[in-house]
Amino acid sequence: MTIASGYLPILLMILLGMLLAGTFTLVGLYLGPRLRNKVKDAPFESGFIRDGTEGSRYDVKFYMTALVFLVFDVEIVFLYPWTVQVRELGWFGFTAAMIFIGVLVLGLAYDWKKGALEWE
Amino acid sequence: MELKVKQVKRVDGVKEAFYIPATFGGLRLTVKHFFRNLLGSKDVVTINYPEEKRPISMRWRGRHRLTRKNDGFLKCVACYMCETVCPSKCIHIEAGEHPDLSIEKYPFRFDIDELRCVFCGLCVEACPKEAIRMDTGVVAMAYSSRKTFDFTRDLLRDEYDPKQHESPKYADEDLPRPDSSETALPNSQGIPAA
Amino acid sequence: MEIIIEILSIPLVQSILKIVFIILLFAMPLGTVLTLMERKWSAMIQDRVGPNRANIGNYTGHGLLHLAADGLKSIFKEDTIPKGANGFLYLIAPFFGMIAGVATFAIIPIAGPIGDFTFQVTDIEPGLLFIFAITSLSVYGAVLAGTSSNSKFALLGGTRASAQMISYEVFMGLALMGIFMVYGSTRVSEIVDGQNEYWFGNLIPMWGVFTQPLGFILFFTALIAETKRAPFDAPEGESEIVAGYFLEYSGMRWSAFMLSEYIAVAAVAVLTTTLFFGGYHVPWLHLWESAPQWLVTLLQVMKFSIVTIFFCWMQIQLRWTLPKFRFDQTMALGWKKLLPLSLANTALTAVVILAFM
Ligand code: SF4
Ligand code: SF4
Repeated sequence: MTIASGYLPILLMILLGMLLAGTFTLVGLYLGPRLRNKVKDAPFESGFIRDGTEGSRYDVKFYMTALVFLVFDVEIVFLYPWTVQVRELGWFGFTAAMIFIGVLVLGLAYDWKKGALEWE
Repeated sequence: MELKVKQVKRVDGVKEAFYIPATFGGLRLTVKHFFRNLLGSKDVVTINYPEEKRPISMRWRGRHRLTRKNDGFLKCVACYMCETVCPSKCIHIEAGEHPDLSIEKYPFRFDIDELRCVFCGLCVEACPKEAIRMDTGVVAMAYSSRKTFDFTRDLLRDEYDPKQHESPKYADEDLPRPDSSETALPNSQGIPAA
Repeated sequence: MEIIIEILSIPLVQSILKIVFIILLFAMPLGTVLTLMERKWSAMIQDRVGPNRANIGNYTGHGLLHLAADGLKSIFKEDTIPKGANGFLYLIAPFFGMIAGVATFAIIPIAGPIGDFTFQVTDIEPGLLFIFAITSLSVYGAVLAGTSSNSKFALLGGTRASAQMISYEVFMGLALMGIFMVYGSTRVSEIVDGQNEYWFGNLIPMWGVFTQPLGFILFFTALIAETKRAPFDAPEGESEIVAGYFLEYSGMRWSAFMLSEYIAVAAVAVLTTTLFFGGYHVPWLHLWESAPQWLVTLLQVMKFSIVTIFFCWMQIQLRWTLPKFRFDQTMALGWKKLLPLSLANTALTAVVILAFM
């Protein structure tokens, strides 16, 4: 199986997904009524007049989560080759992976202790 | 004053921390309900409302009606008791002189704005003549226009039977159309009855 | 006749046919029917009657016509765009969820191969890694919808969705490591074939759920959180932030979000079936050696569909069984319970495999 024949269908699938979503959008745009007024255009705010914008300030916890995610997601990528080859690599590979995971767990413990995982 | 505090015992421990046993305990209940209802709606507690109706108590306060004497005339003597006692000021009565001198007064107009009514039943209790009652058994009134909720004397007469019309809801043309908005909603503009 | 066979043997034509079959005849109808079934099944769980009013004449089809009614209703609804919204991002946000949902089905085999012909759109080598890549695409849908709507609630929902989805992606990947180890591959067809082996002679099939029970629970939990469905629906939180990130959407674009949610539900069920419940393999069918090929394929499609529908049902059942997690509880469950557990599961699986090799 060449690369193209393996991945071309996936491209087709993605195109199909876009086609579906595109059809939905277009159908709604052209068949729905267009009666706009000031109140309808205003963003939903539980019926209150909106004061100010939402700005761009996020809680720092979201940044923390993103950082921890980055660390773990990248580490996981390194682990995949070992998981597939676990039989061939044997106990040596296991020890290496455990050291790797151990470092990860240390990091996790540090995050935990520092409160990076707290959301209260 | 000493506040009474009820201590709720929280189930904590390994079993709870894993969620799994509790999840299966919950699933047992929901799956049981699912299958009982799948195979014959055994536990269903809701009803298909307009087709099925719940039995209501004899004392249910529904839409009002005006009762009649044996000779067919309204019992009401236009004494304004109900209008006075009504907490939401939704009854509007105008007294008229009856040609029969033995009857002192009769309601020339008797309007109830059912949108304002809170169905407290005070008008029924206040009436000295048992002329107004709320035992029609009309549980829900759903009409398409505001004016339809304005019940006049003739609509409140006790032989008015909504079931005689083909739909249980009153059509707009069943009801007399008042000429102006003032006469339509006599007391609904927040003006207290005189 | 020959030219038709010739055309049919072109791989591209074959894969287009498979895509049409799997998406338009399997995934889309399943997703669409699920929108109704969710309401119908929810009603049964909660002792209600459920939707049964939409009718043509006297025919209601036990609520089946609600599908048509809902579709028509949202087609003819106004498509509003709030003032101050970022038009382009607002426009493309519904695309991501749909793409992620649809593309998941690309690597799912729904029946065993007949000769050279596979009932799988494509069997790429990375297999499940592709699933991780494509599901992380749906994060963009939520985040873009949230940030482009110029609405506070939508922004809150979008940020919550992003934090939750990226977190649970990690656990999803970690939970599957056991499966990769047991079957020694990330390729879906090899994992599915690996589940056709048996323990103790022909007694217990080596399904993922038996080889990786903890992995199954972790993976299923992570997937439900990834699709942002109850009990992990804090990003959509009807009671606090109304609908979360797709709050400002209306009409058909809202339907696009809803449909992609239900396709995602179907995708979760399909993935669980494929990875943990033997995929299309009917257990113990290999004992019946003289079975005709067409019957085997039919049974396989049936088994696959039944298990898939069971897991769709299970997700709705779980929605009405478990109380909703608060957002901090969702994150704590992920980082403090699922992560250590899935790391432990990985290590344990490796030890067991190496010890009993
Ligand atoms: S039921 Fe109460 S509110 Fe209604 S008309 Fe009678 S007194 Fe007034
Ligand atoms: S209904 Fe009864 S209380 Fe009301 S005016 Fe007539 S007689 Fe008096």
